[in-house]
Amino acid sequence: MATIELRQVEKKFGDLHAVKPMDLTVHDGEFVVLLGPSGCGKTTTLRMISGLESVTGGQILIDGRDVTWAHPSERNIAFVFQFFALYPHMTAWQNIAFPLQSQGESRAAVKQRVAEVASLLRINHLLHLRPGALSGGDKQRVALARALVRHPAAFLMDEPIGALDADARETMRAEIKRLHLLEHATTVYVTHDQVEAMAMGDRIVVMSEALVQQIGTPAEVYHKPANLFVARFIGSPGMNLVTGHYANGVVHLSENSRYLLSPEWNQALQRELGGEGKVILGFRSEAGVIVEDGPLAAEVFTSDLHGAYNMLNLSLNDDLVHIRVPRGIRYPMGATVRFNIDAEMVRFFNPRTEAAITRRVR
Amino acid sequence: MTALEGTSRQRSITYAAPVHKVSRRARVILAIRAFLTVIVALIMLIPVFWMATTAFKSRADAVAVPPKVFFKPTLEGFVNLLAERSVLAQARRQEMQARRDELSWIQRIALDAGTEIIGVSQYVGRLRNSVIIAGGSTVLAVLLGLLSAYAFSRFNVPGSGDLLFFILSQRMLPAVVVTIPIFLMYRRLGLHDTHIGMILLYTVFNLSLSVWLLKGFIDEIPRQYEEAALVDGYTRLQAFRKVVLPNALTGIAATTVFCLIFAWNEYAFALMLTSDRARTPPPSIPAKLGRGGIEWAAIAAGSLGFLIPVVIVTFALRRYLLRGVTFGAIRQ
Repeated sequence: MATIELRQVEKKFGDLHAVKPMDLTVHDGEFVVLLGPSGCGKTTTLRMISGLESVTGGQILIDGRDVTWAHPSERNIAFVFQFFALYPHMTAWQNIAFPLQSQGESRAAVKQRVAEVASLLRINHLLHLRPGALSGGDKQRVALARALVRHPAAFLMDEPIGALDADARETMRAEIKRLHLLEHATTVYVTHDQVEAMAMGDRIVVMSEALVQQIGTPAEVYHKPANLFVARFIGSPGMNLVTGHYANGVVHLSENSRYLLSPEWNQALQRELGGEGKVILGFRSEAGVIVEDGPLAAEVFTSDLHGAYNMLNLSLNDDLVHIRVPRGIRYPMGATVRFNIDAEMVRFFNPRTEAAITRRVR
Repeated sequence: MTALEGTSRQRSITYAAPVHKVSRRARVILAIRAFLTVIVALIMLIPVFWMATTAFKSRADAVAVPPKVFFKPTLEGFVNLLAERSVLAQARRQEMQARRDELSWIQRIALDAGTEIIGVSQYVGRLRNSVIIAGGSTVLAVLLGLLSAYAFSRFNVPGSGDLLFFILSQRMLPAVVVTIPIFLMYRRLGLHDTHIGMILLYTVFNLSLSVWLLKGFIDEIPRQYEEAALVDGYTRLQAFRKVVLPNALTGIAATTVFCLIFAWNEYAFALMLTSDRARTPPPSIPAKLGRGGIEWAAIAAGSLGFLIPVVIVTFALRRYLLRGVTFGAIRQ
């Protein structure tokens, strides 16, 4: 397996940036997810790593070797496509054997290796079929087998389960993760589904508008979003964001909602905003706690039962705020609720730069 | 509600087991469609049928009024077509008649018509010319068309829109308009009445068709197939050969048939640009009209013989022509 290193890699179409210069190091055996809405440049990045798309600037290194201008076939990587891209005129067996045959492997070696991979993915009984006769999940298993068969340096996957139905998606997600662990395979995985990214990635690269917004572990991007985009994009629902006014160690959200800052936060906001100014307060839905004498007040908009918990949708200062509450408790519409925020889980953003405000100077 | 339930139950049955019972309504519709298809096919086939029967008629039967549907078939037309004959004088005829048993069946047919075979007719050479010219130009047009269609489909060719239009425009002028300049050029270049000249000309005309047709077919093949092959360790050319080509077979077969039919049937250029060495049957069959009365049987035999090679090629490729319907594994 291998490390992949991107140094100031960019892609321009004319004057338009598809990917603005980005740095990324994928370590040996790591599972990195490129996450972002469609058109954010994540697939282009993946295609540049594979060599299917040429770069317009920067360098790509695989295991320290500069492959920026190497042909895709010389990079020793495997690519799994969203729509499988199985060769329709070949059987599953022939599809899986195809990458080995390019290397001039002996017939016996090909046979043995295909059998190994097929049993790993449990598709032995499908090997004689053409792709047209396979279900979506099985197609993707064959595509994965084709990627695995060569022992490539790295796997690049472009929304590999995006085209499957919900059931198959759950199964394949688990299977891909298991394969990754078994094969200790360096993997770069593209998706627009943040749940999938959180579940699978060792690290997540959040991208938007051709720019890397944040690189971090799932916990980091969830709890410490670098900016408003990441805060909104990660999590379901996204982070609650309420605009308020900061002055004298207090954030005023509305007439009867005043959030008292800890000394650390007060210092940070003071430094960032200089005295006073507009600020955006953010917290995850599970960080809100209903307490009778809570410092914040909001009106109940609706309440949805989510099975294990209730999601309370509150209207605060024209913003809708979601708070997770235990199942049993019911709140009538229009009632006023007071709540507090877990002090460890509150975040602040500068509305002008949209960036997160950090507590300590580094 | 009950009606809805009824249909859904019926559907689940048809999914579970192969269909044995088709509803009566569907059967009637099917029968009407089949009937109409047969009628249309008959109307379209009448000229071909007429030609085929005329080819086997004797001279008298061919011009009989009303036309004979039942007649004694004879190969006279084919013999007249394929053999060069001379008319026998009375004495010679009787002499031949006397040793009739020694003659081959072909000579006997000629003798019955009062003629003697003195050699192979020009028609055989003309047919050979057609095979060379139509075959050569079709192979060239499909091969070059395939490469250029692939390039137009996959690469960012500068000015590809204009280039494609230019290629298409090669076919816009009717043959009669361009034959005279081409005739003058060909005479100067020594291409007049040569196989290579006709092959080049038909290739140019067919390229417009083949580039456009094949581009359509190649556009339908997702790029991901080649991209998969590229990362699987193959070069662009290998990916083209192993992945694109097998998936474009339907298009290649269709294009081949179209190009072949055009080159095979072409009349105007062949009439103007060939005289003897490279002349093809289309301009030479009507030339039969003038010589010693109209030999309808020979003309029909010539047309029939001319038809058969194209039918054979189309028939041989039908597997690929139909395959497009069942292939269906491409998802996009």
